[in-house]
Amino acid sequence: MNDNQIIPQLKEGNETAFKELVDTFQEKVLNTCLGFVPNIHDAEDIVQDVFIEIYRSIDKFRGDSKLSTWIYRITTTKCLEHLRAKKRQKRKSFFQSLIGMHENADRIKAYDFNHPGVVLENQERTKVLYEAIEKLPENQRVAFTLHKIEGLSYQEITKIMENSLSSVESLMFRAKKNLKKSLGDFYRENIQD
Amino acid sequence: MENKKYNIEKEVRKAMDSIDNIQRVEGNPYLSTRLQERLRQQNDNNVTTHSQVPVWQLAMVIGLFILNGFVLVQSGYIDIESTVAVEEVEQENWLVNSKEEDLNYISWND
Repeated sequence: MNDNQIIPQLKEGNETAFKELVDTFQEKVLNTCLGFVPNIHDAEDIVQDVFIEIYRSIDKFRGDSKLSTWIYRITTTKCLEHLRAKKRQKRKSFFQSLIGMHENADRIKAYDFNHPGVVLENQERTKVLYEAIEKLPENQRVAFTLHKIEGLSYQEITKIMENSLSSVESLMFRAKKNLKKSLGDFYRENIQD
Repeated sequence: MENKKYNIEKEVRKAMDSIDNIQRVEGNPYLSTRLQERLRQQNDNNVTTHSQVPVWQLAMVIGLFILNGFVLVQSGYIDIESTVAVEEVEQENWLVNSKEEDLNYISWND
């Protein structure tokens, strides 16, 4: 079923059409979520939120972009919201630890690394990379994740991020540069002479 | 020193390349069933919440009025039993606020 066929059915609340949409897009949505939040449990929760959001706001979809672009936009937004909420929680715990209300602030992380797509021998290295990605500014992080993890073209990313091609190229350039610097700093501290 | 720099560059490159070795994760076959269940629950909750909120609000407002009246009566601010007219209250106040000679005048008249 193409966009023109499925969208009217979704707007009518057709459950079969919704099931087909979920079956078609859930792998893409899940892997994008894992690109932002490398924890399978958190990622699966976000996937559910994404599809609920799609179901609830399909009436607002005007068809200016492809359905997949719109779904990627919702996915990205939900992932960023999740990360912001985790950061807020971490900050709150930190302040609570300062006044002695919460003793385990150091143990609260944005997520515990649990990515089923990463083979055991690459786990440590990929985890270090994800920690570096976490330090990137949001827009660089989105561009990098969508391109390098989800394998989207710059052209597709421009539509999702509603940016120009040159902006996306610039974001990717800066993201790679910042990642190399961040990883360099990490290995400089952790490699013996 | 040169060796360490080379090792760092090598590790950075390996870490950057590790992203290409991430395998695609398959979706959950039960996701659509879970979603439909979740949507159904949310719809049920919305229906229950919408139908209960006005009743609750009305009951709360009525309850507050009753409580307010009860407290006022108990505190003696409002005396329901004595139906004192405004004029009588005025007269009482006049008595209380009257000077001594006025009171004498009353008793002298009586």
